[in-house]
Amino acid sequence: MIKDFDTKLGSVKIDTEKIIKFEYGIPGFENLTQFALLKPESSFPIMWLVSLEDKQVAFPVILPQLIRNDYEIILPEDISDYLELEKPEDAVVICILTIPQNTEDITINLAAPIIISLKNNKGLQLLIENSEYKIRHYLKDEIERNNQLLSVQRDGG
Amino acid sequence: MLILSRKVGESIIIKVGSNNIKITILESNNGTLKLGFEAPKEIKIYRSELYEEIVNQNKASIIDDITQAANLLKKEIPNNISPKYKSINLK
Repeated sequence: MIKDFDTKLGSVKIDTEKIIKFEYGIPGFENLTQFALLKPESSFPIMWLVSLEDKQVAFPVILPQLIRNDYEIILPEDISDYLELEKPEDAVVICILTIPQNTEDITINLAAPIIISLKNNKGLQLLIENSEYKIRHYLKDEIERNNQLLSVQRDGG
Repeated sequence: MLILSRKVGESIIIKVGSNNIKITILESNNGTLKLGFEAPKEIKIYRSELYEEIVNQNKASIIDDITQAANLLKKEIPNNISPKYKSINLK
């Protein structure tokens, strides 16, 4: 059933069957369980994970590979079972951006990606401990690193 | 707050619904305690400071003017995804 929802990005029509359910909540927002991933062309490649219950809440998110070409995480078995994933393509992995007034200080959270299952529309924020991925990576540094990586790939075949 | 005293080798059990979480004091060394956790795998256990850092970061990412933020970001982010890597692996 298509319903209208008031979100941070304005009123949107969403098929209630496609609502992304965060049954365990998102840390800091445990009371909110219904979200949608909006991809307005005007802000591409930034997408918005918007709450359908609190119109103040919208997380700016991005595909981590855009920032870090070799981004890779391993999902524990209980998580892929919960999300009913059979192959990596069954999930969308996005990372939350923090955008302060000064663009120099924009950060991306690579340590706690959001995983959304395309199989059962469930979502969660995974917390990765003890890895090279941190909660705050400066976007500028990451983009520089990524450009170097991409140019090596081009030159090296 | 409930306060319990435990010696090394002793444990406590926290019952959440039908789940039991058992926490054992394994070692005590100069004020550092080593704890062992036994819990169903859907029970996630984190160091408080990591969890709280993520809470704070999530809250900091909620912004008022999303149009301005999006415009700032668009200028910064390249649009070149390489298909060479997939971002998740299933265990």
